Amino acid sequence: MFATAAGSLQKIVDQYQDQVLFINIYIREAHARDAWWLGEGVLGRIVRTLFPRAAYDVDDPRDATERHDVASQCRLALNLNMLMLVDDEDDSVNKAYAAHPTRFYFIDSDGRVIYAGGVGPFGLRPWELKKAIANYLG
Amino acid sequence: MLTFLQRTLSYRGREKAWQQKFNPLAPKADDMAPDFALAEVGSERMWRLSDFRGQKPVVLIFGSFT
Repeated sequence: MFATAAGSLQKIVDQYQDQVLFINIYIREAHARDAWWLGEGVLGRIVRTLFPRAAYDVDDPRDATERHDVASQCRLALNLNMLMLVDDEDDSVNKAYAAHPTRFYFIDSDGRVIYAGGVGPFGLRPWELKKAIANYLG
Repeated sequence: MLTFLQRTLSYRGREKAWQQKFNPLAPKADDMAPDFALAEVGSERMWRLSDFRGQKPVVLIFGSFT
């Protein structure tokens, strides 16, 4: 669940945004209401309490227009101050980076990968990303 | 509850299969990052990752709303 890391991420963005470009890429929903929904029943009440900034009642967008609509809502709700791009309907960038449901990459100015983070939610480690940035910038 | 568990196991299996299919092809440290062209949210403006070469390092943050 991407929203669980939003607070940690924003701190990293605030610290390094003068030296690093942060791009948020919106990909297909991890827990859409019409798929692997986590927003129902007892579990739903627990996760809604634990992670109030995440969305729970969102259906998986069916076309590019709906993707942009949901991505816009996400951007507003999480208040992430960075460029946001929207993956295409074929999930081509998501597939190229094996990014679903959440993942970080840090890429140097020559286009080479410095840090390829693990797959979320358990492999999503903002502190590793921060360390990779700090090491790179010296 | 049973329905939820069944659904979770089903989706977990699908997600694992998806990762097993695409993760071996994803870039690792020291690989060149695959280029792409995507639209900015709420806009038709397209951005390529390669647009930023020679400028700043880039962090890509993949995720969704749920």
